[in-house]
Amino acid sequence: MGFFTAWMQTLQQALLEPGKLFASARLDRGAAQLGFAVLNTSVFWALGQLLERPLLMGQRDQLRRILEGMSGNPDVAPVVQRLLEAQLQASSPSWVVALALLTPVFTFLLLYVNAALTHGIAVILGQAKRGFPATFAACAYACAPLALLAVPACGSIVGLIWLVALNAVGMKVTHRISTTGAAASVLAPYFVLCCLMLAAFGTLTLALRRAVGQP
Amino acid sequence: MIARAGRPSVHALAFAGVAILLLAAAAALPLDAPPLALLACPFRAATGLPCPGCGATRAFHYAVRGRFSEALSFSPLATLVAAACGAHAVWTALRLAGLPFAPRLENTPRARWVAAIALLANWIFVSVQGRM
Repeated sequence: MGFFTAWMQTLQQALLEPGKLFASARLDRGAAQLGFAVLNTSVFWALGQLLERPLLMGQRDQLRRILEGMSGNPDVAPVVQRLLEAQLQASSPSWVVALALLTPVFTFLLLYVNAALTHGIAVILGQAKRGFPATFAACAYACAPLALLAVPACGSIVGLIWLVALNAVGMKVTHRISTTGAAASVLAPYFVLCCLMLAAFGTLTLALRRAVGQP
Repeated sequence: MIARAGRPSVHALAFAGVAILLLAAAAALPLDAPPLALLACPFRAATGLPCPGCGATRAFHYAVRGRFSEALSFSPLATLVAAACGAHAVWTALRLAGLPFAPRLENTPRARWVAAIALLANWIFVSVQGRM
């Protein structure tokens, strides 16, 4: 079987028949599972960036104009100025290329941190019946829905929710545990991740409210 | 427990890479500038209490600079994790060089209770200390 065919078949099975894929996952194929997760996430993220750029250009320009208007105000919180600078930098072609090159590194890092957290919680809850390779297989194949990163705007949100659900299915099948145990093991790390995302969103909102002079 | 072991597995090698990346990020990223300065704990903002992970960034920041007493005052568990990251990276390098031993963690009910109590104790410590 060719490389591309194998990738597409794994992707199709993970999305449409996850129970079958997780049941047949070999725990000694960690490198292949890591390769699938990193390749899948990186390729579809890059594709999403290419599609999102022209589609959301107007919205991005409008936000930039608002932030530029605020940055001229001496009372504006320094964090807004830093946000503006970061936003301008992130839009430049060199940064897009740099981010595209760094995506496999971030995917690798987040995949292992997520697998370690999930496994740690599973161990504490007494749900890690088959060791770390089983948790890793569940987390790696659960990256399949990140193919939706290629869909601009809403793709990433739908992909992330699907990923969490697929991760729970994976934990249930690979460790042969109950649905409740699998859900508890998987949801705890995402609670932390949600906290971080909320933190970023909350800080941005607070900074913008301060900038427009609202308490 | 230390046991005889062969060459490190793919996951052991990958974890060594992750450990090096985390320690390098803690060494390179300043606490008072983006992206770290843009993060704030929503749990603490909502409740006034720290979450179990509060203080971990600062603990890593100080631990990687060898300022362990300051790191411990922010989060003892995160300081331990930072030290474990360093130890794992060094041990994996030694195993690649031919060391035939590796630490083996036992998944026993006692170990699980110790882990759960350590998490809880760290959370209480961070809450009482109030530094983050």
